[in-house]
Amino acid sequence: MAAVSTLERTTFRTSRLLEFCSRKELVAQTGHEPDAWPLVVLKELLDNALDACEEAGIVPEIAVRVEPRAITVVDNGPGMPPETVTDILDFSSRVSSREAYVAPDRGAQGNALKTILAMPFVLDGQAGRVEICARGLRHQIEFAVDALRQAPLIRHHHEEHDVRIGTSITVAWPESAGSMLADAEQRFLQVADDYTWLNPHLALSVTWFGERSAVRATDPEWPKWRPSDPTCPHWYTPQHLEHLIAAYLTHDVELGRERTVREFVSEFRGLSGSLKQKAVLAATGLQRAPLARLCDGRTIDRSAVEALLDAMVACTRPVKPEALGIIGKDHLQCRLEAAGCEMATFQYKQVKSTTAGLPWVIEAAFAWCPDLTTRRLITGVNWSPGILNPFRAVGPSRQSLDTVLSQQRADRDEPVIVLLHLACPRVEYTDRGKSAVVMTR
Amino acid sequence: MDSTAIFDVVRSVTGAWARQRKAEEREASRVSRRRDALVRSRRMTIREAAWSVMPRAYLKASSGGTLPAHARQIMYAARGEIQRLTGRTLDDQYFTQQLLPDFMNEHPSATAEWDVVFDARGHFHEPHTGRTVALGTIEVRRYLRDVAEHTLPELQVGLPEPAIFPTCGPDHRYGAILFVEKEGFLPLFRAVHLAERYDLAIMSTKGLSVTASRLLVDRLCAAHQVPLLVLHDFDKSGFSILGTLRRDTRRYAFRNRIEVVDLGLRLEDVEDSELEAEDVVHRSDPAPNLRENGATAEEIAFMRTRRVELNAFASADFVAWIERKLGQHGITKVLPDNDSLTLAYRRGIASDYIAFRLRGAIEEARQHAADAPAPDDLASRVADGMRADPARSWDELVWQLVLEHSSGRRSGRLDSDAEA
Repeated sequence: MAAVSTLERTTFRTSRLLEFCSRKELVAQTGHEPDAWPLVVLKELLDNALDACEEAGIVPEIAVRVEPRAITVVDNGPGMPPETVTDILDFSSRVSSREAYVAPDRGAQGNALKTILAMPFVLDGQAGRVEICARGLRHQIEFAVDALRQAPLIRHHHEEHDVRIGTSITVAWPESAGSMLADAEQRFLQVADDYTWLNPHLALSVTWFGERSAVRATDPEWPKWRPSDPTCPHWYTPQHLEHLIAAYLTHDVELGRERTVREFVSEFRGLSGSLKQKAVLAATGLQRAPLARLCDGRTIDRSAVEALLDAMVACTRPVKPEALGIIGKDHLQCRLEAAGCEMATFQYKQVKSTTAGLPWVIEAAFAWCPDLTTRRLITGVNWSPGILNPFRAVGPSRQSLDTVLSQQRADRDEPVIVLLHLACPRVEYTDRGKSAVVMTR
Repeated sequence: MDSTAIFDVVRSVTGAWARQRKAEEREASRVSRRRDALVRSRRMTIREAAWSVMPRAYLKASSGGTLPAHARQIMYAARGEIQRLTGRTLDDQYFTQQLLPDFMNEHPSATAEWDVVFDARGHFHEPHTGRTVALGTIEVRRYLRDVAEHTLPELQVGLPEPAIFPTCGPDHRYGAILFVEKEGFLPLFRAVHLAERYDLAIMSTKGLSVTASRLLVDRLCAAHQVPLLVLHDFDKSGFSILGTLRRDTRRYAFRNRIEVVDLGLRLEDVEDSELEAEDVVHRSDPAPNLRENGATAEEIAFMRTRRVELNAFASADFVAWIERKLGQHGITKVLPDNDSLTLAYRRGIASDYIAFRLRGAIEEARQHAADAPAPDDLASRVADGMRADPARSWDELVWQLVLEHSSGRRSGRLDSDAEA
C-alpha cells in the first residue's frame, strides 16, 4: 500500500494587536457601534482629563475642538507622563490606575485609551494617527498595516514641543468616516454639555467646526471625592479585595519588589495610623507578613482575604455619602436657568444613604422649558454622563427610567429637562456600553 | 441600594408636572393655562421659607448670638414669617426636630458658632449617687464637663458624712450604661435595685435616642471603655433606636467607636417567653430599615405585620430576663483597684474622726447659743437693714448681726489678751 502523505501543521503566531484593531473587537471593547464612536472619544478623553485635574487638585479647564478631520481635547492638568504613553501602546495588557480599586471613579475600564488609539485605524482600514502633547513632548502614534504579516504596525515618534501645561490629545478622524462625525453633532454637543451639568467645577469650551461655545464653572472649589483619595475598606467585597491583592502582587513581581501586608493596609482610608494597622495585623496574625503570604501558589487564599477585610472594616468607619460629592441644587438651578427653563417649575431632590457600608447619593432635577421641542434627559453615574441612559433596566424588575418618565408625562416629546445622577463607589453595569446599572434590590 | 429609591426621586421631581399634564389630558383647555397653573402651584415650601428666615430667627432668639437659644425659641422667632411666606401652619415639632437640625447640618460653617439648646426628652441615672441628668443639650454638656473635670474633693465638714465615695462619671461607679427606649420602667428598676446590683447607669428616652443622649454615650463609653446596652422593643422603631446608637445619622455623627450591645427583644426572646404580639400597619415597607439595623429575614417577616413591646413581660419576668441577658454579656459590679479601695478606707476613717469630734462641738455650741443674750432692738435693726437694702432678706440680716457680735467679742478678747 502506498504511503499516505501527512500534513505536519504549523503553529502560526498571529498578532493580538490585530484582534484589537478590528471593528468587531472595538465594538466589544467600547460597547458601542461605530456611529457612536465620536461620543466614545469625547467621553473617554473628558473623563481622563477631569480625573487628571482632580487628582492634581487643579480646577479643570478643558477645551474640545472638532474639525472635519480631528477631535482634540486639551486640559490644564499635570500632563500625561511619557511612560504612560509607552504603557498604553502595549496592547498585550491593560493599563489602569483605577480598574482594581473600588472607588467612585468616572471610568475604570482599563483600556479606554487603547480603544481610542486604535479607532482611527479601524475606521480607515489602512492607517490611523493620534497625537499626544504633554510635558514638553509631542508623541505621534501611527497605526499602519504590515503587508507581510498582515498585522497592524504601531509607530511611535516623539519630539520636543512647547506644551508645558496639561495634555492635548488629537484623534485624527479619517475622511472616509466624515459623515459619521457630522451625524453625531447633536449628541456630541449634548454629551459635552452634560459634563458641565454634572461637574460644577468644570469650565468647558467646545468648538464644533469653528463655532465655539463655552460654559463657566459655577463652583470652582466644588468638593468631591478625588481619584487620589484612599479607598475605604467598607466598599470592598472579598472578591474585590482579592482582585486588588492579585493586581498588587503581579505589579510587584514585575518590579521585583516585595510589599508587606502592613504597606497594603496603610493605603486604605482610616488605616494610615500605625495603631490601626497594628490592630488589623494582630487580628489576622499577619504581623510583618509579606502580601504574598495571602497567595497560596497560583491562587489567593480566600479565607485569609476575608479575615483581612473583616479586620480592616472593623477598624474603620464607613464614608459618609456627602463625602462622595454632591452636585447640588444651586448648580443645577443655574444650569436650568441658563437653558431657558421656567424656574418656577424647578424641582430638585437629593437622597443619600449608606447600604452595607456603601454610600450613595441620588440627585434629580426637573424644569419645564417651554422653548424646547423635545425632552432633554441628562443621566450620569459618578459625574460622567452616559452615552446611553444607564437607567434603562434597573433592579430585578428591570424597570426603565423611560417608563417612569412616561408615567410622569415627561415623555420624549415633552418640553422638559430632567436630570438624574447616581454617585456610588461600586457601580456595576450589565455591559461595556454602560447601558444598565446593576442593582440587586 | 434599592432601585426603587432612584425612581422615587424621579417621581418626586416630576410630580407637579405629571399632575398638570394629566389634568390637561382630562380637559384640553387647561393646556393654554399651563403656565399659570404650574407657576401658581409652585408656592414656597415650608422648608424653603425656613431656610430663608433661619439665620434671622436664630439671631433674634439668641440676642444677636450672645446667649444660648432654645430650639423652641428659634421656632417662635421664625414661625410668623414662615407662615406668611407659605400660607400654611407650621408644626412646631417639625421645626424643632427636623428643620432646625437639617439646616444646621447643611450649613456647618454658618452655624458653627450657634449655641442651640434642644429639649430634654429623657434621663440618665447614676447608680448609688442619686445623680440624675436630664437628656437635654445643656444638662449633658454640664455633666460631661463635670466628669472630665472631676477631682476628689477635700473632706467636707458636716454631719453625717455620706458613705458614698465621691465620684462623677463611670470611674469607680458604673461599668455599663443601660439604654431603655421608654421612660416608664424606672420605678420598676428602682424597686428591684437593678442599677445598684449591677452598677449600671440607666438612661431612658421617649422613643428614639435624642441627640444629647448620643453625645453622652459617644463621649462616656469611648473615654471610659464602658459598653452601652440597648434595651428595645421588637419592632421597627426598636431596631431604629439600636441603629441610631450604632451609626451616624442626619442628627448626630459619632466621634468615637463605642461598644454597643443589643440587649433588646429578638424573635428568639419573643418565642422563648411566649410574649404576646400586637398587629401593626406600616405606611411603607419596613424591610430595608429593619435589615439595615440588623434584623434577620425571619424577624423582618414577623415585624412586617406584628410587634412585641417590652411591656408584654410581667414585671418579675422582665427583670429576670434582663438579668439573664446582663449575665450573658458579663455585666458585673464595679470593684476598684486596691489603691482606690485603700484611699476610700482612709477617707472613711478621717470622716468618722471628724464626725466624732463634731458631735461634741455641736453640744458645746448649743449650750453657748442658749447662754448668749439676743439684742433688745433686734427687730428694729433688721427692719433698718431691710430699708437700707431692700434686696436682702430678714435672715441674711440676722446672720450679719451674729457675725458682728462674734467679731466684736473676738476682737475684745484679743484686746484684753494683749493688755494682759
